[in-house]
Amino acid sequence: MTLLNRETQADLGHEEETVLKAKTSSLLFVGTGLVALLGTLLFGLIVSVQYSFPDWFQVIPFYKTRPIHVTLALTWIFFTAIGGVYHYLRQDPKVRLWVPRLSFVHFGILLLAETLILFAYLAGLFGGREYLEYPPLLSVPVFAGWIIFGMICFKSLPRPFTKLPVYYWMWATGILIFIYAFFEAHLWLLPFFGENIIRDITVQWKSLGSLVASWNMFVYGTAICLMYRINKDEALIHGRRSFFLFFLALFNAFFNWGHHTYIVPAAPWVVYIAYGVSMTELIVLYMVIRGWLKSLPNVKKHRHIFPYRFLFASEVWIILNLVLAIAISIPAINLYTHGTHITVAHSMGSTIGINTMILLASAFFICSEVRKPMSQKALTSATWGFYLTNVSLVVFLGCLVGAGVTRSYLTTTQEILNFQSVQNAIRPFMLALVPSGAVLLIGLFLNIFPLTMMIIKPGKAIDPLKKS
Amino acid sequence: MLLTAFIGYSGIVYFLGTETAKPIEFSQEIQKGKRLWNAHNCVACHQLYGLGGFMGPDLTNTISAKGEAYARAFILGGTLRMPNFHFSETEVQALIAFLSSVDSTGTSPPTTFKATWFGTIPSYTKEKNSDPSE
Ligand code: HEC
Repeated sequence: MTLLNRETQADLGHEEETVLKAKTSSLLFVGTGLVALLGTLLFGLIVSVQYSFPDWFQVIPFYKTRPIHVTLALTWIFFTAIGGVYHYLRQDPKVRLWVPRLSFVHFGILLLAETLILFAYLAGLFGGREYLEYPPLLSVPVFAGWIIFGMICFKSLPRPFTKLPVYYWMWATGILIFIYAFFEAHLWLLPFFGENIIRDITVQWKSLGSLVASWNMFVYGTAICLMYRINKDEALIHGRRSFFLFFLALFNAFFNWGHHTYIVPAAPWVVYIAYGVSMTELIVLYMVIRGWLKSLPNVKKHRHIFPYRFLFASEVWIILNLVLAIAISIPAINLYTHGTHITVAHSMGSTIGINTMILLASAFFICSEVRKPMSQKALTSATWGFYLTNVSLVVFLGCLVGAGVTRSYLTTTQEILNFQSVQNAIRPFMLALVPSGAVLLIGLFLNIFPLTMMIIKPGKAIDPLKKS
Repeated sequence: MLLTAFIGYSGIVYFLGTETAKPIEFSQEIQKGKRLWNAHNCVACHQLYGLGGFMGPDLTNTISAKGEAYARAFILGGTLRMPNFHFSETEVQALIAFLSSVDSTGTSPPTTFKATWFGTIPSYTKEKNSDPSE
């Protein structure tokens, strides 16, 4: 019944133009995100080959391909999440999007910043900060884009804020955290921070930790919103457990970065606090998804088979990541793992295993709502893609953990500190990374392609009511 | 509540937690070195205190461990894996000055450990680190 109201309102209401515009901008974001995903996979593959064969592919050397790979990965996560936010906002009958045209400005500015950053890398212009390796001037448009996004969201959300479902809270705070952390990441430009190397690196880790927390807010919020859209369970979005997750995530956003700084000689209590706070949020997210999976009748699973599959996969990855993450935030273990490939496994595991799975679920859901359903061929391709992705990801992460364990075993227990001999010892793992990465790319491509086709091909979805 | 705690904590981290008792003077040359370090994206391959890429070794203590001449050779000539950036003599000197200043702030990875009630954490060698709480 509510669904019917919503559909008719969206289709016939006086806000038709508004609604359509908002919709298009969300697809632009999701579409760009998908292209960036393909890009980051390609560059990731190049990076992993270059790691083992340094003389290969000198056209774009390693110190350029690596930042391109990272930037495209961030683009995938943020653009797809933002596209989702616009889509879900537009669908909510209680929300009237504030100046929908601004969402195009938002898209335009971020796309421009993105393009300039990629060109800067190719041209060899660097700011040289880990993960934000472009000249700091290019941060200005990124910053502007986020301010616009913040304005649109805060003006659009219905008052009072206290009554809002938890995912709106997550997105709104995600924006605030991003803006603050991004600002913080540029503090090094001030001599007070930049000229004290310990302070510089500590604050840098702190801000990077918050940036990650910001996108986690978006991604976890997306997961909850998606689950709610599929089964309409109010407890999920107003429930105590969800808000508990929210506050925990917020707490983590503020304090959890510290497990990166165990080896930086800042005051020891910075480290203690970090350890005390670590790693609780994934447990709650696991509980939320678990509860949702149980509550879902079979019919709904079938109608939303892809969102369902990807959410399910993300749940499995959450468990695996949890084990790894808790292990490496124990200081005694972290000592050995820090700065080895285990850290890479941890970040790849959460960006691909958790974030990418949830965002693909969201992309499939959005496309199924605004575009024609997938053809049988596309369905088969996406199903293959789903299994290939998950299987190759297991191998891929296994290689990284293997390399990390070997390296820390050699450097700490055997005291082999010679860089070259350690590199030789982990070489088999790094070589195995390449084919598993290639299969991962193929697997994800089998999903990206049908999704992109759906977005490009015009045509509206069949009314979901008629389908069921 | 959470927010105030965060603001307070940020402030403390900025000002106290990372204060060094005898700050190194950040000379013109070190500044130039840091600019060169950033501009050539050394961080893509090298780590300082574990922050950075894994293609090359962590450079936090290269200078004290292996000497200036050794580092100079790498920076000037590059290797099979490390590109030759064709630095001038003064540029190499500035990079070395920057790396030496990093080196003087502590050791990474830590070499001495302290057992506490919840595990083992690095304890920083006294002569190098000037952490006020030690
Ligand atoms: C493409 C990756 C890459 C980039 C970029 C890079 N390096 Fe290197 N560097 C390496 C590798 C790899 C080694 C280890 C030697 C080898 O395996 O060839 C190394 C070794 C070194 C060493 C010797 C360290 C030791 O303990 O053996 C120094 C010093 C050094 N690099 C400084 C720099 C500086 C300064 C920059 C930036 C201007 C830089 N590197 C940029 C890859 C890189």
